[in-house]
Amino acid sequence: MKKLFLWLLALPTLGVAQDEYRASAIPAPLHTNAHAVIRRHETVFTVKAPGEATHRVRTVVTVLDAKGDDQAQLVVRYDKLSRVDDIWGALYGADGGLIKKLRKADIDDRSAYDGVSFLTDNRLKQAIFPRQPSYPYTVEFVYETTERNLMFYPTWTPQSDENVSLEQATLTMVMPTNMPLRYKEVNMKTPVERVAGNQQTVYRWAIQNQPALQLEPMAPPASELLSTVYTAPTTFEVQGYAGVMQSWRDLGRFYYLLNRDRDQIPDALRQRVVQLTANEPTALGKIKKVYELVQQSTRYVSVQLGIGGWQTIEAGKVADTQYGDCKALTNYTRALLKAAGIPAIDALVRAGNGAPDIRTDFPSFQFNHVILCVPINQDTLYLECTDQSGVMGYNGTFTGGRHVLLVTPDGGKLTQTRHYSPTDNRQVRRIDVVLTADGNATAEARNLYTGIQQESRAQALVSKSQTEQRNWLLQRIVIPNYELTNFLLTEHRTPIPAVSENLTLSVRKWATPSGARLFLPLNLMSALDPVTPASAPRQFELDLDANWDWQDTDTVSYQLPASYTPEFMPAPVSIRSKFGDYTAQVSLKDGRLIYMRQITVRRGRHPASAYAEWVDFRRRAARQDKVQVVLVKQEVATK
Amino acid sequence: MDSHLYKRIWVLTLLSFLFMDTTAVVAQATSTQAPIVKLGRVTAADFDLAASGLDSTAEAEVLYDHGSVRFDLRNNTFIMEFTRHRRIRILKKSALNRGTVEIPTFKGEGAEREYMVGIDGYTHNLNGQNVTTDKLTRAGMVSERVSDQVTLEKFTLPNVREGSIIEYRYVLQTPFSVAHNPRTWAFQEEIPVRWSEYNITIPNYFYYKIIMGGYLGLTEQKQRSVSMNLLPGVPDTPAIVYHFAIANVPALESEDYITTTRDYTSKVEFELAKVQIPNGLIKDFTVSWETLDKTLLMADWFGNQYKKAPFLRDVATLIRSQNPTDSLARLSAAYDYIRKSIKWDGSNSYSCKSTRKIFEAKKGDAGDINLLLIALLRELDFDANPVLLSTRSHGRVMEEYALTRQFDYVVAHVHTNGQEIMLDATDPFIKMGMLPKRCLNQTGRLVVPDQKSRFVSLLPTERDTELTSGQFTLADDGEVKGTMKHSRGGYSGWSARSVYQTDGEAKYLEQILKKRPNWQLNTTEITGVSNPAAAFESNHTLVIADAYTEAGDRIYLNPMLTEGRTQNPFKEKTRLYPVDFGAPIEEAFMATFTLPQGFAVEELPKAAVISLPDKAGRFSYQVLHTGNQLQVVSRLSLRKPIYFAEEYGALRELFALIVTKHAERVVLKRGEVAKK
Repeated sequence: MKKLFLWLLALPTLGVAQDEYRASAIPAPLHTNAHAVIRRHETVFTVKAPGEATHRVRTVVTVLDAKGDDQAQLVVRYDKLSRVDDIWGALYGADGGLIKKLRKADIDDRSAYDGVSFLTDNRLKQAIFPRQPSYPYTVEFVYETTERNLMFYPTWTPQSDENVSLEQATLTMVMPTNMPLRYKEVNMKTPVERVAGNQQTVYRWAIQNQPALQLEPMAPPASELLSTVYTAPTTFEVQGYAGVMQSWRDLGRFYYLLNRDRDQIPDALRQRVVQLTANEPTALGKIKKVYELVQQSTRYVSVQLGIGGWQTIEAGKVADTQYGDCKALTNYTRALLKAAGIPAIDALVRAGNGAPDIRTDFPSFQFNHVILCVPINQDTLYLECTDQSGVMGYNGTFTGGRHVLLVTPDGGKLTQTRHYSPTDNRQVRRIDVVLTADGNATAEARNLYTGIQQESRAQALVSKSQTEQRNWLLQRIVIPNYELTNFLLTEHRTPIPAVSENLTLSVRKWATPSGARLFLPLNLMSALDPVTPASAPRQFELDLDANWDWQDTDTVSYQLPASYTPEFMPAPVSIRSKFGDYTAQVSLKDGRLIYMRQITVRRGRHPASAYAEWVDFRRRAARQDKVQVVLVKQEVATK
Repeated sequence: MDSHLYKRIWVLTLLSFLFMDTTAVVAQATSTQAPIVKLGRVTAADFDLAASGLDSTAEAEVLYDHGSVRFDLRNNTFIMEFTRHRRIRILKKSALNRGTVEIPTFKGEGAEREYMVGIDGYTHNLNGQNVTTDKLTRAGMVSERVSDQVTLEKFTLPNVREGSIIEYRYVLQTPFSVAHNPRTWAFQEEIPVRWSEYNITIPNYFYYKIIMGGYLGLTEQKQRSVSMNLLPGVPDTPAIVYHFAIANVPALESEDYITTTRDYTSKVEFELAKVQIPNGLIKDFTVSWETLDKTLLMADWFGNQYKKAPFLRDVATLIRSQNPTDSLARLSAAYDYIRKSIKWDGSNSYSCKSTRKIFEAKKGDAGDINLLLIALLRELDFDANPVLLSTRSHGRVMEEYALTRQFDYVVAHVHTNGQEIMLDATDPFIKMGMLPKRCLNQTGRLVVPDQKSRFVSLLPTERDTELTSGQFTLADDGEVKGTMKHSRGGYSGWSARSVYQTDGEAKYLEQILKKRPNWQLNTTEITGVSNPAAAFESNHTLVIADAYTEAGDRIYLNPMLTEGRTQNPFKEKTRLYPVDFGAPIEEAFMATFTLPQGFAVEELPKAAVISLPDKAGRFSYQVLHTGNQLQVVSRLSLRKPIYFAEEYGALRELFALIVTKHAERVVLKRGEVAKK
């Protein structure tokens, strides 16, 4: 124990061998691909009670070049439940000699202004040394905070950035003996070292000599690749609310109790909902009415306050002002549905396009959003209550295809939102082209986008003016020389929402005349580019995430200029791969050349070695997308 | 569209007293009248306004925007009180966030800060024929201390939905110690504005320059004399009330290849020229360029920083001893010394508190570094002086107005051997005499003593040059093999060198290959990476996949390979603003192909040439065939950095031809001889 304490209290004192400040002491392998080296990263999290802990972090970072400068700063976030007790810093030269210590004036204190939140108590302290004229140099920071929101324990990822290597890091969790620590090790070479004492139990992890990470395109999320220890309490307290956190059930229970009985709405509103839904015979009809009411009358205003941001404001207040954050609007919608006799359940989720799913094997508060689960018959709807224009029950890339925690009176239950398949996420283009002998063309395109492929178009449609929509389209239509004569975007509020796009295009020299020939590229609007092969042996798995579930279908019908016929007809093509399939074919019918092409890509995780196959698939598809038909003018025999 | 827009941007100076030139702007005859708007009072008719001719598909429309400024005295200090009343109709759900408003307020150098003295807000909704109005309450207001200097006054209105009319009025007091210029009033914004009005009452203690920007004419412009009591115990002073208004202001549009939309926004700005208080303070702020030059030359933060610099004597002596004869070499050595030893922190400025401290700290902003450079050059007896300029994103400098805040940057100007060159030591990779692209913004002010200051042209001295040449053979399976030399000079060379030097060769090549996934590089040799005066040259031996297609007896080859232009950057038929490339452009692609055995040329793309009027630009393209060799030559030269909107049509046509020619193919046919 004694030893342990000495080591705990070890301060950045003098007299210690200064190797950790001296750049020349960095092992050679840590230079590879690195702009900075984390020499030391020491975290000590000391839990004093279920509702109080101190968090002390010491870092020593050597910056190797200008791109590593960003690593030489300290940002400490805090709020009403977190107090910054101490910040200390020092700057050292390449030889490890002290240049200067951090002064109060070097620390900037400001609100963590995010441009979104209306009301937030999040603030940050930022410490930066003046930029250094030469490299390498070393900075050291120590900070200590007192934490009073113990719903959250540290997630420890000391090597948290690309192109930064790590020499030594430790995590020490000091727990009262009667409060066992929960943890989850990911990519850790050595497991925890646990020392039990009378009063305290100390958990300790260490990492040494981790080379810099160099990310590759389409690699799994960094959270899967880096050494990480997740920690969480078994019991905790926050602002007088006590909770247990051993299972998802516990978590859900805590959230439920925290937000219970905050769903009273005024009688007049209740009557209004009853009237509104009285004539709807089905549950779905009633839900639709209520959801429309919410979409028409409320709006999202971010408020990051209240029991660590996890307790909603009352439904009555939302009824009054008609705004709220995700918790408040979900709570309010649930209250309205209740008035209509429809039970609903809050569902906690980690939202965001491309956000990695929660770690289901480690129950903890990994969520950033809440939506509303409405079970009806065999089906279940998940309502996004913060979006005033989205289609009811469509979760898309924001909350679709991932785990959610249902908050029931009996506690939490993990389940999944709907996953959207390639045929949900379609791009269908039907284009009629009239081609003239000089290569010019007019095209009428009737395009349809569904599911995740309609999201950006739906966004443009609901938010942009006619002029802005036009500019938006001009940026996205990839044809060398064209004019957009006319366009119309239309929304279709089907369960898998769709946007149709009608375009009239005048295309200059789409086909290239050359003597008696006319070279006609077949794929007018949807040709895909190949992908760049890996320049070094691939390290990481190939991750085709949920955004890679899609299908594009093009049918282009060319009315050929009089007396032109194809010199040769490309043979039908079919490319099959583990990533998806590609087919294309051309036919000639009544003077029209009909090009039909479809590509389907499916999400999946593939070994690193599959990257070359992916490049090959994309190259073969790209080659087919560039295919041209050569048209030749037939000499008119009869006159 | 107004093709002469660029030249017609109208400007107007009003000196609050000496206002005589009322013909400068003539109020346009228009049926539009000032609406009568009372705070908190909206009727059903206000929801049913007649079409304004503005874009009705915008997400929201400003119905009324009214600003007024008056001067007052509080705690013995002058304040400006700004009252703003805005009324906005929410047309789409995406505009709901306009129901939350953030107003930044600032703290001055001393302890004083701006104060929000009142906020009123209302949301009006139409239910059938009835208007319901909800008032903003305390609960909807927040004051967020962003930093010591900035506080955000925020409020969010209740019951805002599609179709709502939201309305708010706030009163903001600005002590003179925080700012002595009223905030710039923009008549134009991202959404259409039906009526924008600005009134200011200026007591004759203060002389302001009033500067109008943008290209929309004022609908109303009036002024009248009043008298007001500002100072206790002092008789009333005359004052002038100015009134400006524009009706039916279209949304501000952005386009590619422009400096900044700020150059095109209709707005009114103020600059304090003089304070004259009876029996009190008389202070001249800048009025003419001559006085401004004088002020700058004497300023501690400007002229005094480079006049004498004894701390640079050792460096100067060293540079002199190493370059005893050649003054150009001396200049180059001094330039390199500063830009290699002092690091730019990335920020723009035209001032420096202490060049000596910057010299010690080895880092600084643009003002710090370039004033230090001037100090060193003067220590070496060069005729070196500062040129104040405004970077492209900061907007154009108007020579009509001697205002320091038009500027945000300074570079060094040297007159040597009958030559004038400009130097910017913030950039270690640029050729001497060349300014970074951010500085290429028409005109700058050369500040020299003895009333010899003048405007100097910031037209680029270098072009944006890319020359590519190669020798290729056609291999099997659609592949083309050979060597390629890619030479980048001027601005292109500078940007390549910057990427190469900061990111390294691997990242530089990665960028190239990302755009050319069909390339397989076998060897690469790059030269000119460290010498800013040399071209940045890449020599590759490479294989390009899918470079030609073979069908039947024929081969179809695009001789531009992967280097052709595939998109016309100018998609619209008309253009509002000038096209500003920054620097002239020079591109050439020359390649020789050895034909495969047994193939003969069947068809070649036709040669083409197009020139812009007044020789402002030219594109030529030609494919030649001699023996078993094919040669393609494509050249583009855009001689002007800026093309006016009236030249847009021709420019667009030129690019259309480039894209067309760059898509064309050569047809090769297997000859009879080769057939077996």
